[in-house]
Amino acid sequence: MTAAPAAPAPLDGPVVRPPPGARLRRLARRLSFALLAGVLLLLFLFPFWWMVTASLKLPRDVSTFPPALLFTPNLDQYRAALSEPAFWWQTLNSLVVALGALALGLLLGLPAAYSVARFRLRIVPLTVLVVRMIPGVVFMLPLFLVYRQLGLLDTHAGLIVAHLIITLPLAIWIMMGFFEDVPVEVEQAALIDGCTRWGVFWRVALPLSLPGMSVTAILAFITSWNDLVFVLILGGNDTRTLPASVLSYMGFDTLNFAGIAASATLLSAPVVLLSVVAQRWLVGGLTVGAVK
Amino acid sequence: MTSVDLAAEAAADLAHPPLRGPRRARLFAWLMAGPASLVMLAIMVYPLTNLLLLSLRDYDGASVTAYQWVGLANYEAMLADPRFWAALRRTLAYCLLSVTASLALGTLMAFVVNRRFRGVTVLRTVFILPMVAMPVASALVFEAMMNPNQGILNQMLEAAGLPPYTWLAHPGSALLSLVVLEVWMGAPFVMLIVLAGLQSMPQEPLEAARIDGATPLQALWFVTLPMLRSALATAVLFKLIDTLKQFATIWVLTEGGPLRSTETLYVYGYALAFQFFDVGYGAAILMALLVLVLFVSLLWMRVRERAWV
Repeated sequence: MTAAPAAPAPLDGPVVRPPPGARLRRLARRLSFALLAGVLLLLFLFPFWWMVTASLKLPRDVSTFPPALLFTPNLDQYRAALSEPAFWWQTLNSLVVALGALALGLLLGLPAAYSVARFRLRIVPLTVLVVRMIPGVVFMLPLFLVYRQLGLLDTHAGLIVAHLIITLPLAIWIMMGFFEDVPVEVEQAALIDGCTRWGVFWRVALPLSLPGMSVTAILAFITSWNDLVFVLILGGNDTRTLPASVLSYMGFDTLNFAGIAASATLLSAPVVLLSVVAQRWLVGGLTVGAVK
Repeated sequence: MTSVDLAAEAAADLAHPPLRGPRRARLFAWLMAGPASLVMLAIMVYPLTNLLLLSLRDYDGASVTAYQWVGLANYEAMLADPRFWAALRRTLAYCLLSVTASLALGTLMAFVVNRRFRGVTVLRTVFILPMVAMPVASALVFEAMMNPNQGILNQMLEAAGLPPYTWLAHPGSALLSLVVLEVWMGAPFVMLIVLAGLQSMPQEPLEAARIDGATPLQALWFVTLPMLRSALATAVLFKLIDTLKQFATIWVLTEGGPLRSTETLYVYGYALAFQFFDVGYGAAILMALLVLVLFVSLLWMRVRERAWV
């Protein structure tokens, strides 16, 4: 807040002139702030940077130090990973489970969330919250025994239903907030015009909450896509998803850094890209339940 | 707030007379919420009661009928099991270390991205990436970077003239190495919560403090941080719950080793139930984990009630 030199001196006080050295101090403060931001950026970007560059290097070049910043990218590791039929099967499994659980979660969750937002059913949010808190493995042991009885182990349907534990609470919790933001007046107007209550939900509230639905869809997809413990317990050879495929790396070939980096890149890329594209909308959803 | 609105409301009352309206509305509400509520109840009630029942049995999980009721024997065994106590201590150490570090780092990040400067959006985007990246994939990357012989972290230490670190390879350092990964994945969440707190904070008290001659540090300590209290508490309790539940990264990186030095309650319960098929005892351990998580959740609900309701 320095006074412009040309401005006339105020009548009721002396001209405020920055003391000598103030500019310098401000510059120093700015520099140290930039330094702090830079260090933090480096800290959080570094593993991603390492992952992507290592995946593009020749295996013998990965461990050279200092790491080469400029090098000819080499796609061998990706070619190797993508030529595995197993990779494609696992991707397909991951997609089927995540999209199936997402669709089922929305189908059940959207009407419930609307109902909670408009008619204030107290018990539903509480249940949702409790399920969000409980560790996955606590559900898994009873579920494993039941699934074995019913022959649902290692089936897509079984995994999709289990992943409802992830997607349904998420859908209800996020959409509650979005439905609350739909102006009641609009819905009343629709009722007067002869819309049924279902019609109000279907034709008014849902279209107005499309942004919320995309946040829900993205978050539910990411959480489901990333999950390990469900598939580890309830899955098998036919339904192995991408996160479970990683366990085959353990124990052998742990020194093929380039191969590991390429796989890690392939596993994380879909959700990371999705988040970068949608980050503006996502931030509200990531803290859901914690911030109102 | 116009006569049009009032007319609309009156018309709505006419269209849905009070006698018929509310009851039908409630029916509609439950029809809409019914399927999801049933699923949620089934998800919650069945596994929890079943887990409790399992924990009262001596059961190897092999056949459905071959088990014996043993009452509280599993819990007695648990209390006498040094491996349980060690796992509990480890779990608490892991959680407290990760949460403290995530809190400090995440708060710092929130203050940085709360400012306006060129590139702040990029910075924010980068900061949330560790949250969404597949934990299993991140674990692989950290495993490679933490390799004692050829990992880049030890190469950097060496270049700086420092002795190499054992990272995941040694019982004394494995848990701490897992904490490093947990903080990298967890600090962004703290950042988002604190950022939301900062942005919804009234600016007047800060200005008043400045006028009264508070230094920036004093303003931070006596004004900003106290006003962030509920955001910080929320961040801490959510992170506590999430770290209590951490499994994927630990399992990929160490499977609880070396020498059980990273065996948390979750890992111990998982190994018992699904690797050694000691279902009854595993269920008892998982019940202990559940109680721990529910305790923290209750704390959080109390914080939330005071802050927002």
